[in-house]
Amino acid sequence: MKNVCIYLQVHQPYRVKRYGLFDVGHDHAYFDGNDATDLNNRRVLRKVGSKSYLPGAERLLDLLDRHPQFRFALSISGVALEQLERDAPDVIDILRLLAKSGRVEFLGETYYHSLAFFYSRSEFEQQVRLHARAIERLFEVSPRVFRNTELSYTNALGAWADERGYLGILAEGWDPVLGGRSPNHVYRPVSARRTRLLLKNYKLSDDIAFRFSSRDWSEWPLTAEKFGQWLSAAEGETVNLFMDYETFGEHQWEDTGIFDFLSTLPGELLKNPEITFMTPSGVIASLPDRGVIDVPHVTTWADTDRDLTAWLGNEMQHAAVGTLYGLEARVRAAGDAAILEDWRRLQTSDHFYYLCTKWSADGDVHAYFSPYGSPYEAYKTYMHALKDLEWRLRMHERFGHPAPAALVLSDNS
Amino acid sequence: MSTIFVANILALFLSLFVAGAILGAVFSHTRGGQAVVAGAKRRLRALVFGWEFPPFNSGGLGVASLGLTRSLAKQDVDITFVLPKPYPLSVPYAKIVAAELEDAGAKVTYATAYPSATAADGTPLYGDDMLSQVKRYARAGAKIAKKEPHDVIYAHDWLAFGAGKEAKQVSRKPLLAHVHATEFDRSGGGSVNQTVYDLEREGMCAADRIVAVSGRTKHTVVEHYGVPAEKVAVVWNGVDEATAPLQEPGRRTRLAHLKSAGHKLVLFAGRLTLQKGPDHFLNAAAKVATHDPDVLFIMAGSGDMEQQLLRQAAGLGIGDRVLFPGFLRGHDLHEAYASADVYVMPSVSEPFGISALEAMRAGTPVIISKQSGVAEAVPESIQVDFWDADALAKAIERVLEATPDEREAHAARGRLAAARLSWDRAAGEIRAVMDELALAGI
Repeated sequence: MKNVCIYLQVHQPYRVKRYGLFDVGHDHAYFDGNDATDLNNRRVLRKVGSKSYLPGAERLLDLLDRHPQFRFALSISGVALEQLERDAPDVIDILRLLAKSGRVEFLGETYYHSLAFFYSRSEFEQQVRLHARAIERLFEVSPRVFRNTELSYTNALGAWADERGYLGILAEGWDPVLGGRSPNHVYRPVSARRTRLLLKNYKLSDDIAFRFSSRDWSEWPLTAEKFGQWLSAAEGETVNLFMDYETFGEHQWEDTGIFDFLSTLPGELLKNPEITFMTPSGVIASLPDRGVIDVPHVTTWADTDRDLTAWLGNEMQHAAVGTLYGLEARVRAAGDAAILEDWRRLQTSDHFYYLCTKWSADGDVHAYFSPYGSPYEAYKTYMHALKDLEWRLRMHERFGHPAPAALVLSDNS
Repeated sequence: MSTIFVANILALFLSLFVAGAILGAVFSHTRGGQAVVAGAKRRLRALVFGWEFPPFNSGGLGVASLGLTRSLAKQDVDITFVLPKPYPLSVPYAKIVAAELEDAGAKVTYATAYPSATAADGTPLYGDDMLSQVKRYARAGAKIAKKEPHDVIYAHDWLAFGAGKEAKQVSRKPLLAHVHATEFDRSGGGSVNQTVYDLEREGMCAADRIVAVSGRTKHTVVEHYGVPAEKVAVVWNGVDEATAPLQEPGRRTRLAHLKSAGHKLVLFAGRLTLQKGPDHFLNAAAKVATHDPDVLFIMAGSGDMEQQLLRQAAGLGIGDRVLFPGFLRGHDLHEAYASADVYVMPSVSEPFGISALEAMRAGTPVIISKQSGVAEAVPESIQVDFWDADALAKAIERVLEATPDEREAHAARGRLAAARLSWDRAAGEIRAVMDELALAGI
């Protein structure tokens, strides 16, 4: 038997609107852009909702109806859930129907889709708890398998997941850490007693996520039948297809045939009696582990480097993330819920991704995902917003809360 | 009833106008070629070639164009101010003329007066496009000289020297060339563009007199362009309410919020390019920042070094202490001057540096580089070598640590200097040079 384990990631950041020096100390609503650009978060969410989330969820629901063996996993960041509840509640309704089927697993992650694990363990733990609570509230299930932001993983994270009793954790099936082994097995993190490691088959995942519509690709057009043959021929016990949910309808537009591909793939695969669909928990429960995977340095699923350099590769990114986490103690001391919330929203990894200046083939991907004119524009915008956050902390520290009326009144002068 | 009244008024004006015109013609005829009586200035018609004019400007050249034009008009100079292209611009003290009309052909976008300095990859300082614009503008000079009556031709910087030279060939009127900056300043110690240098030099040679914005600039003109020293007059730039309006007293600026939170503001305002020394500013900022957690540095401006500077600030560990608001103009800029605790102008090579006067007028202490022309005009100011980050850092700290009394005294000295260095004073000196030219009967 061979398992096919699909996990789709749903995420939308709160992008910082156009924000400059003269806004500092005056405008604390960094995320409420309302222009006709992709800095308008509600606009983006409605667009992606109608292009991807809604039609995708409808097809997934239909697949569950048609194929009793069909199973998959979703991971939805807390900031995406919030925005869906606010701007696309119909998507939430369908997601709840998916959850009711009992055949869709919801994974755990940080509520704010952050890199907190690498900067503040206590903040990380709080965000994981916040996320679990949101999943429980909306879908009445508790995450038992964890995936960290951008599939980032190290031995330390594996050890953490083991300590916290997770059944499994997800990571990139990157060749250097596999050392010649296949990603298509269950593995064990270093020193883990219970937690198992599932590795992304990046070749087959990216055939769908990145190459599906590429006419330069020798395998174009990709059909469900062809992909089924590849899966049947794949070695190992489980093929883990991990990708963005937005692959369907947003990264790959509907007119590329991506939805038809999605709708026909399970039926095509199930023609092979040796193939079955599994959730990550199901894979871990049914397969033995085939050894230990040692990941001393961080791996991620991004770029050709598969490391954190997409978020932490240049001086600006380090300045931004260093400044942000440098405020933690002051944010906690202020005890102001609004400040804490904004500080956390500014932790979302996308903010640092926009600052990336790697202009190789990866740069194209970065430009595609960035709503800013350039990494430098993004940096200036982010640092001004961060300066305002720091300004609010200063006002707390100097004057307590609330700020003196004279300062509030002069906002409109 | 009322129509008759209006007609009468019109007729009255018309007759006055005709009488005035006749009188003027007779007057100018009898005075032609004769010595001008000292103190009794006659009206002088100046055909001025510029490149930019506020609010359509990118720097000091435009500011000086406005300040000088407005103040020369008060000195009985009737000014026709020529710009290379039409702008929606109208001022009461001069006639604004476009060298190229919008319908004269395909729409042309003119380069800024301050092209970005060359990048490390060796791309040229001036694109072919800019040079072709300068040449096209020069050709238009002749046409305009035929159309616009004038007694003297007055050209601002190399961009307009060609037009002035062409105009002179047509009208045979004296040409005054005003050097606001030279290629040696703009290149900031890098390599000088030969074509631009040649255009500058041709303009200086063709001119009957030259005005340099500082002794420093005069020195460059004499040493590097081979111009006889006696041909060059030094007229410092100025500042006044028209070019640097003061904030209304008592008005809270938007940046006041930063200061309420305990921040001290150190301002840089200029193009982010080699000539202005923004990298030296950051090096000093890094030193100050380690001593004082409350200091914020504002780098206002845009330019070819912006990306490099963003990375430099981040790399120096002061990414959270340096804010880059972009190019500020008008109200935003003057608010920044007024809010700053100290203004720093660390130029590598600055012919003058009007911004220093603007900050002083706002009562803000300034630190300027010794390599700036304005240093001659305000010898009482704090001056450091642009390359000496330690000295600059110490100077910044000293100003920030000043007592309120010391600050007020400093501000008062600055305001006084700014008042002394008015545009009216500069225009008076230029009018005197114009009179000498007219006197010489060239």
